[in-house]
Amino acid sequence: MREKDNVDLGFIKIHKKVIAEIVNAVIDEFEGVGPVEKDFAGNLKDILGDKNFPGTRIIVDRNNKVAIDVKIKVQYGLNIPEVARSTQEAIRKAVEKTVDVDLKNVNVNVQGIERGE
Amino acid sequence: MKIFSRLAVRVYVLLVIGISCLLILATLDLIDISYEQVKGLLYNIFYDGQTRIAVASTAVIALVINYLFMRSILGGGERGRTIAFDNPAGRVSVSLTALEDMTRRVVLRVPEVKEVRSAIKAGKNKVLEIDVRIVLKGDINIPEMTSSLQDLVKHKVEDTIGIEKSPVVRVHVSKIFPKDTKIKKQKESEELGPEEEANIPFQGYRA
Repeated sequence: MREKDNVDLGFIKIHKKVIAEIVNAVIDEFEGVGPVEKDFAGNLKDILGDKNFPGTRIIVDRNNKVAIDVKIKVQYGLNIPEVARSTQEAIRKAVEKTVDVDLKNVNVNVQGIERGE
Repeated sequence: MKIFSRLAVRVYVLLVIGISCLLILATLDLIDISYEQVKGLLYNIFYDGQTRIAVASTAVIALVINYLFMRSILGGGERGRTIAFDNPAGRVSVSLTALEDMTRRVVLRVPEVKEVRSAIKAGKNKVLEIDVRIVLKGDINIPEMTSSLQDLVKHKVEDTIGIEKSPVVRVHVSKIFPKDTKIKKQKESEELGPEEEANIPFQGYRA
């Protein structure tokens, strides 16, 4: 559940949700890209007080390497491979800069095309 | 759908809270539910028309909400309909539903197209197969128009996802609305107009 880091004073644990929040912040700020809408289960979790990020999945493997699966919407008219590549790079930079974890890969899943040209 | 989903969640939560509270209160003996009351309630459900309709509607709403809940948890069968390519940073997969949506929007920009439906599937040898069903308006040269439509869709998909192999675009014209129907209707209404006006008894009356 948590990414562990051992320092002299003790453990530092970073929750997956922290990484998910960073990923979502990047997507929110990134031009031409948007997050996917919350579904029924996401809305239910929200009401029950569980903050959730739809479409963002953080996977930590046995070697403490982190993989990020993220679902996005791309603005109509943009080149998807280019947008996806720059999104992957922005996410990688933001996560490495903020939490300094060993990122394995950032998988982007384009779920929809947004209107608003 | 988003509003409906939110509303459904609220109804679902309220329903569960209500039933739970009722059961807790009943088991703690804080509310008095006698056998006769339960029997009376069941009797009403069976024999009173209005109660029957109310209970049946509640049950149907609960069923729909539960179905939505189950679909959203299990993913609604849309998983797997993607095409993917690898970047140095990781894999990028594009939902075919997103491409279908984009195709629809591109085709609808053509003025001669009235309605459109599109279906995309990844065929053999990694070639995308795009089926576009359209309803046309007006008398037009169909071979010319469909050919330009095929080019338009093909180039748009190629530009958007940057695939190596060109997609196959199949266009199916399912209906043609003749252009002059509207003009005919307008003429008819113009002809009918003065007669109808003549039948209005107090036309131009001022108080």
